[in-house]
Amino acid sequence: MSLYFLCFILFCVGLYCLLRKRNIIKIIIGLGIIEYSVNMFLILIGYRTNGRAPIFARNQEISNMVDPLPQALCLTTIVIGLSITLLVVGLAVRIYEKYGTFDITKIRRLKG
Amino acid sequence: MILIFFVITPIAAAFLIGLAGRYVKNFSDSAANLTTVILFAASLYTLNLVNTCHILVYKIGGWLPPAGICVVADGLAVFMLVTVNLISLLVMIYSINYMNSYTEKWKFHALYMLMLVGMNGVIISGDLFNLYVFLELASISAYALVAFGTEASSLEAAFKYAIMGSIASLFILLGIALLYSYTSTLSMFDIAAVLAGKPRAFLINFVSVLFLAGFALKAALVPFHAWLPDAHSSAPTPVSATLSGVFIKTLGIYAMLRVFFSVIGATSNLLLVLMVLGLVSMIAGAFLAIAQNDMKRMFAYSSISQVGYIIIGLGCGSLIGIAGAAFHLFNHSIFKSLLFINSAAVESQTGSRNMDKLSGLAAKMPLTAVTSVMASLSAAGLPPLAGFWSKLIIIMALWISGHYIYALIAVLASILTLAYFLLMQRKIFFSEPNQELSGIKEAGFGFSLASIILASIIAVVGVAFPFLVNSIFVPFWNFLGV
Amino acid sequence: MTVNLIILVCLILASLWTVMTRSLLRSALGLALTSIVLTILMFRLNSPLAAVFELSVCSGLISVLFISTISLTEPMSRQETLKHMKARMTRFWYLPLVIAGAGAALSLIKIPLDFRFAPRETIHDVRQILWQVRQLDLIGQIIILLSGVFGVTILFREGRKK
Repeated sequence: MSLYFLCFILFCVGLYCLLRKRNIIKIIIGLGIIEYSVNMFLILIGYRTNGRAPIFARNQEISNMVDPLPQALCLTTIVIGLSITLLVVGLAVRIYEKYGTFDITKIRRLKG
Repeated sequence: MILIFFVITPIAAAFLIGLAGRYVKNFSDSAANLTTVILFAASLYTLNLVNTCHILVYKIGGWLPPAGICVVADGLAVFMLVTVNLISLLVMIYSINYMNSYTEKWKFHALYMLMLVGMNGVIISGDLFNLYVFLELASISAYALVAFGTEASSLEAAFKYAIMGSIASLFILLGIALLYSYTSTLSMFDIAAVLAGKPRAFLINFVSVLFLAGFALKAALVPFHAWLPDAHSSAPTPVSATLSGVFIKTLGIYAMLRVFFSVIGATSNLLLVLMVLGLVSMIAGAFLAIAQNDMKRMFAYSSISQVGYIIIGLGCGSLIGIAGAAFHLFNHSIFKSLLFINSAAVESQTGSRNMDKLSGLAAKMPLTAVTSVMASLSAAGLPPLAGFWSKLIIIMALWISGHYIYALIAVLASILTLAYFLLMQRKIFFSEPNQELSGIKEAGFGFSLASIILASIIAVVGVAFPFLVNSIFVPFWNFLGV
Repeated sequence: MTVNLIILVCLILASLWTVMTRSLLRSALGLALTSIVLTILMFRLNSPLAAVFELSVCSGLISVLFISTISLTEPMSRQETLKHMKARMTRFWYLPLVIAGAGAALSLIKIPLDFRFAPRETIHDVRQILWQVRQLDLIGQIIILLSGVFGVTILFREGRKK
């Protein structure tokens, strides 16, 4: 139970970084931390105490195995996170070229 | 089997455009148009199929649901498929002319196809995690498409949209993970079955809050709307038309409807929250729209207001409310795409979107003027155009379920809508012509074709609605399956 | 279980350092560190495939991405950094108290979370699930990666014709 709670704290740390920081790179890093916490959560919900890794070798009996589905989901979310980070970092570089700064308070050509 | 076709065809088109678009002139235009025509035909065929056998299910790779993925189409899904593919077809038609002012337009077409994959996938997916994957696919393509012009403002808007959208997606993912931990299945039907067998836990309320925040961000309901006006006004107009016409509805409203009404189950508290969110968006969007002088920003705020109508219809929770919401969703995507096409025509001819600088275009661009008047009146809900009927159904649903004050406010917001659209029409089309704007003529063929088709849909659906309602709409809505 | 708890606390500390440090470069290194600690935890929780993936993608690729981006900007001066740190110390003195209080309150209330897992007999191999059972997810994630790369190529050009 406390593992889940700590995982949620990690989520909140990322959310704080994302909402309160002014530097664009810091905001993207906050996004990354949130992603880690969700990945962590996916692994946690598949975990069973004293289980074993869900990779099949020959002549092994299936007993008390960790739930494999969340791990497959976790792999997918890692890839999705990678492509989002790629795109957002690309945007950040272009914004730096156009505005000459990473500071979000100085990047205000639109009213919002 | 036909369902997986909606995902595979645009993927294949995107690959082809990516391979050959750079070398063959006009290949990307024709490939994208051909794909959307095929998809629209396929969606009509699916509509016909669903009319006879009510629900289509296809198991990918033959694996059964707890771990395998199903694609499902019921009445509502097919309705959304038809809307999405119709709008993307028309957007592709007019982007033939419009996208000529941009460099490397084959990249636009390839990314647009990927966005279409995402939207179709969200509609047909019967598996929660798969829904998330397609939602991300559509969102990532949309972030990139908003930045297609690579001006300073569009980059800024795309960044803002990307951050907000990613937070929304991560909220949704966390909700899905929690639901999986509670029910240990990902298929929507199985989750609904498991949840029906268990007492309602605290966890489900928490998950509802996560989903509500995520989908409200995607649908740009009012406290979460900050990204929408920027993204809509600085994206290329075909992208704005798609975003406003079908994108926020597929990713926000349709997905919300699926998750809340067919998976978790809507409680009275949730419906109340939806109604309040809808009411606030409806009013705030209308008031903000009056204050704008950029055409596309005004349409963006108007979208927020109209999405408020749809949400308030859903918030009734009754079948007639949901039916009205679905019908208004269709109408809104038609008239808002038409308005965006008109703004693109005006912009491509005069080079400006500022309403204070434009004047007296009705004599020079008669087709644009007439179609935009029709779209505005449909948006404001004047009989006998299509928008009137959907607003009438929503207000009737509000009245029947006893929300008299909400119904009254909905009528008032409709008058506000009429006010700002008439203001826009008077400024741009029906005022004394300005000397600077001489020598302007009607925009190209693609614009005219797309706007004529959209305007005739508005007129035909509006006029024929009383005759069609008993034969087509009532039986159709009866098995929406919500 | 205790070891896992300690590692998770380390994870949170690493992420806090990532968020709070003033220098962007250190922040990017902190993200990589967070990811490495996460990898260790994933190994301990019996998910080697996810762990390896996390290590190679998140702490490898993404750190390279960030560091190459950060090399575009010039760092802040030392005095400025010190000033900011002092200001933050005085601003957030109450935070440890809040966290301790919230933890105590939560341990008293005991939220009725109910994580029970239904038994599953059918498929037990991650690789089979990833490659065969959830094919549509796999296709989706490949297409997502493609559209991300494509989006980046869109960004680095001049959009409008002159």
